[in-house]
Amino acid sequence: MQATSTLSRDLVLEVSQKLQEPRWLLEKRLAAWEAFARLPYPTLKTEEWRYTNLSKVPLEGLALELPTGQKLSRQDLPAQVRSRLEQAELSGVAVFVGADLVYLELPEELQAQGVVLTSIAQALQTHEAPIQNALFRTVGWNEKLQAYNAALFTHGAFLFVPKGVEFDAPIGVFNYLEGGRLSIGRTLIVAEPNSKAVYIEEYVSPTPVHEGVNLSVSELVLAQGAQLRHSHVQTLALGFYHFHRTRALLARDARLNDLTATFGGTLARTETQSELAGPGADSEMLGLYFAHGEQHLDHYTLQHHAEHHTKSDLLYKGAVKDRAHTVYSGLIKLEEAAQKADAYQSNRNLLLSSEARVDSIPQLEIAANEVRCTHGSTTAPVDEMQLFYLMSRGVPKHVAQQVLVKAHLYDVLTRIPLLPLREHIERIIEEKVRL
Amino acid sequence: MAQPDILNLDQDYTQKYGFHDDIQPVFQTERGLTRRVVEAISHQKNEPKWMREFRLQAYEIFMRKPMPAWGPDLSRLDFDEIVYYIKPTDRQGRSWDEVPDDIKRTFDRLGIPEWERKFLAGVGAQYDSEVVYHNLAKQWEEKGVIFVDTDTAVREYPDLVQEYFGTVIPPTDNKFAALNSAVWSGGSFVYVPKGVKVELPLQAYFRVNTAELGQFERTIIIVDEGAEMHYIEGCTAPTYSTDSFHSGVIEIVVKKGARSRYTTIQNWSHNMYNLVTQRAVVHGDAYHEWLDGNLGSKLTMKYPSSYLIEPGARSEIMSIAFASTGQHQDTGGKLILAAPHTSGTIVSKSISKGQGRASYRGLVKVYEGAKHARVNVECDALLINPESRTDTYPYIEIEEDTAHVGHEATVSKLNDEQIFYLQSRGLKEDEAAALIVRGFIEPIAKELPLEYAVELNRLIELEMEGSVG
Repeated sequence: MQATSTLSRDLVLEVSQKLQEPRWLLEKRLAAWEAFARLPYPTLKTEEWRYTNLSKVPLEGLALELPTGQKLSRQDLPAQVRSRLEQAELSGVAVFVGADLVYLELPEELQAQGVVLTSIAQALQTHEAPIQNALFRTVGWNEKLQAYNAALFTHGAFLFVPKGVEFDAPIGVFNYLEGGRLSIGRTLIVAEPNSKAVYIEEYVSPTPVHEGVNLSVSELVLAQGAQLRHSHVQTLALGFYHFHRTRALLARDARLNDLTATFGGTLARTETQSELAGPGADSEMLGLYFAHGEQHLDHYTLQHHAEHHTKSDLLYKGAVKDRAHTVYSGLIKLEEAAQKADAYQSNRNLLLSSEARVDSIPQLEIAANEVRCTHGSTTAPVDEMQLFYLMSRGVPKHVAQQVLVKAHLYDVLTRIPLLPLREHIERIIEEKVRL
Repeated sequence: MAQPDILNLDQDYTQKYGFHDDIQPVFQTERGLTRRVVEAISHQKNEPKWMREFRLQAYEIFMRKPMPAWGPDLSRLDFDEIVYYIKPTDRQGRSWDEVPDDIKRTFDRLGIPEWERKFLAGVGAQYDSEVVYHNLAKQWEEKGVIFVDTDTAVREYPDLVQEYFGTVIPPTDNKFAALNSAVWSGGSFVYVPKGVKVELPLQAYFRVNTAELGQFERTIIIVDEGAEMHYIEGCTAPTYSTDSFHSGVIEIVVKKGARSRYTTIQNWSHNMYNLVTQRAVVHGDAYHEWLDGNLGSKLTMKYPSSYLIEPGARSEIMSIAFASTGQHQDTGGKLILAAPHTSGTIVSKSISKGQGRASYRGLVKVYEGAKHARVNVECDALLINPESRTDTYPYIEIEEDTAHVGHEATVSKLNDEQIFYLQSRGLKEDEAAALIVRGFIEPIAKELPLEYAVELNRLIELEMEGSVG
C-alpha cells in the first residue's frame, strides 16, 4: 500500500492525477484545498465542538492512504467482511480495502435497470454528468474537516438509482481500514425521481490496530419522490479516530430513513444532516451508540426544514459505561418558509457508571409559527423498579442490568425493517454489554 | 373581560413609564470608561481602599476579557458612548417626603409609595446610578433584618459586605460581571438573620431616567440559616431613540434550611440593553426560587443560576419572556448540582410576537459525586405571527450515573380552534388571543403577588392588542 505524508497542493494534484479525474473535479479539489489551508481547526472554543477535543488527534500526523489498484476475490476478502457478507442478505456489494475498491458485485437485474454501483473514480468514465451535478452539492468545503475531505478524498462509492427503479434488498458497502494511516473516503448516492433504494455503509477494521484516522463524507441526493434507506454502521477498533458527515438533500416528497450506529473507535464524531428542500419531504433519523472504556463518541445532527409541509423525526439513544464520554448535540432549524412543518427530536441516554459522562444539547431554532415542533432529552441510570422486578424473578443483578441496557438500545432497532442488520447490531451490543 | 382602554402599547408605555424628568444631576462622570472614571466613582462615594482596589482590578479584567463569542449580536453596544455614573441627588430619603420633588413624582406615577403602604415590607428605589429612597418597616428592623442600599452597606456593615461581595459572582466570571464590579453603584444589601421569616416582600425599583446611561446596580442578599425572604425587583425607563444599558449583578447566599425567592418584572423601554448576571448559592436543605419576567428591553441576556452545593439543596427557576418586534429576549436558567440529593426544575414560557425573538438558553450540570440528583426542564414557546422567532439552546452535562435529568420543549402557535371557540362565545379575536396567552403563562403568573399578576396580565393584554387577524 502506498502512502504519502506531507499535505500540500501537490498532493491534491497527485491524487487527482492518479484517479485520472476530469479538469472540473481537479479545480474543485484545488478550491477546497485553498479553503483547507485558510480555515483553522475547530477547538473547544468552537461552539459545535465544545465537548470534543481534537488537540490530541493526529489529523495531519499520518500518511494519506493512496489507491494501488489492488483487487481481491470474494474468498480473499478480510474475515470481518466475509462474515458480514454471509449474514447480511445483500443485493449488491462493494468492498474497499484502504483506498482500493477490491471487490464489487451487483446483480444482473439491477444492472439491467440502469443501477450503478462502483467507485466514484470509475463512475466518472460512464456517468460524469450526474456526478458533476451532485458531488459537493450537500457537503462543500466551508468547514475545515469537510475541506480536508473535498481536497484529498482518495476513494469512495457511487450509487446511482435511475428514475422509478426500486429495490428492497440492501446494497452493502464495506470500508475496511487497517490502521496506521489517514483514510479519506467519499460516498455519493444519487436517487432519481420516484426511485427506491436501501444502502448500508459499514466501517470495519481488524483489531488491534495502530492509530488511524478516518475522514469520510456521504452525500445523499434524493430527487422528487425518491426513497432511500441509509445506514451508517461504525465498528472500528480502538485506536481509530473517526470523523464522518452524512448530509442528505431531499426534494419534494422524498423520504430518507437514516440510521447512524456508532460503537467503535477511540474517538468518533459522526454528523448526520437532512435538508428538507421540498414540500412533503420526510426524514427519519435514528441513532444508536454505546461507549465503553475511554471511548469518546460524539454525534451531531441537523434537521433543516427549508420548505413548508416537511417532516422530520429523530431518535438517538445511547448507553455509556466505564470512563467513557458521549455527546449528543442536535439542531432543528425551521426557516421562515417552513410553515406546517412537523419536527421531533429525542435523545435518551443511559448512564452505567459514575465515571462516565454524558452531554446532551438538543436545540431548536424556529422562524415559522404554524409548526409542530417538540424535543426532549433524558439522562438517567437503569430504572430501579425494572431492575428490582427482574431480580425478583431470580435474574442476577448484572444480567438484569444487561437485559435493560439491551432493551434501551433495541428500541431503536425495532424501527428498522432490515432483519439481518438488526441481528448484526444486536450482536455487537450483546458483546459490548459484557465487556 | 376588562376592555383594554389604550389602543397602542407604545403610547401606553410612554404615558405610564416612558416619561422622563429634566433633573439636574449633582455629579456625573464623562462619557466612556477609563481608569479615571472608575476612580472618580470610588472617590465620589468616599469608599474604603479595598473597594477602590476591587474596582480597579475589575476594570483591568473587563478590558482584558473578550465579548461573548456566543449568543445575540452585541456589536452595536458601544462602551464609549455610555455615561457610567450619574448622581441625581445628594440625599437619600427614609420617607418619601425627603426625596426631591421631581424624583418623587416619578415614583408616584409608577405607584411605588402606594404599593409600599399596601403590601411590602420594605422598598428601595434607585434613580439612575443612586438609590434615592430606602425604607424597611420597623418590625423587621427590630428583628435584625438589614435592608439598605449597597453603598450604605459598604459604609455601615463593612465586615458583612467584605465577607460576601464578589464571592458568588467574581469579576472574572464574565465581561459584564467585570464591568459591573468596576463601576457598580446602588442596588440592595439584604441580610435576614437566622430563623427570621420576612413575610412580606422586599422590593427594589430601578428607574433609568437619563439617555445613554449605564445602570450597574449590585445586589447582595444573605438569607441566614432557617430564614425566609422574598425580594422583588421592577425596572422601567423612558423611551429614547438612543440606547441605554443596564448591567446588574445579583449575588445571593441561601444558608442551611433557608428559603428565598427572587422575582424580577423587567419592563425596560425597548431601547435598553439588559445584560444581567444573577446567581444564588444554595446550602444544605435550603430552597431558592427565581421568578423571572422579561417583558421589556431591546436585548436581554439573563440566565439566573442556582448552585446547589450541599445535600438537600433545591431550586426552581420559572421564567416568562415576551418578545415583540425589535426585541430579543435571550433568557433561561442554570442549575449546577454539586452535592448529593440536590434537585431542581426549570419552567420557561416564551411568547414571540411580530418579528420578536425569544430564545431559551440554559445549562444543567451534574457533577461527579452529586448522587441522586434530579432535574427537570420544560420550555414552551408560543408563536403569534408568521415572522415570529424562537430558539431553544439547552446544555445538559451529566457526570453522575445516579442522576435523573429530563428536558422537554415544545413550540406551537396560537391555536385556531381555541380562538374560534372563544369568538363563537362573543369574544373579539384579539381578546381571545390575549385570554389564551394568559392561560399559557398562568402557571408562572399565579406565583406572583397579586398586584404583579394583575400588572403582568394587563401588559400581556396590551401586547396582544391588534396582534392577530
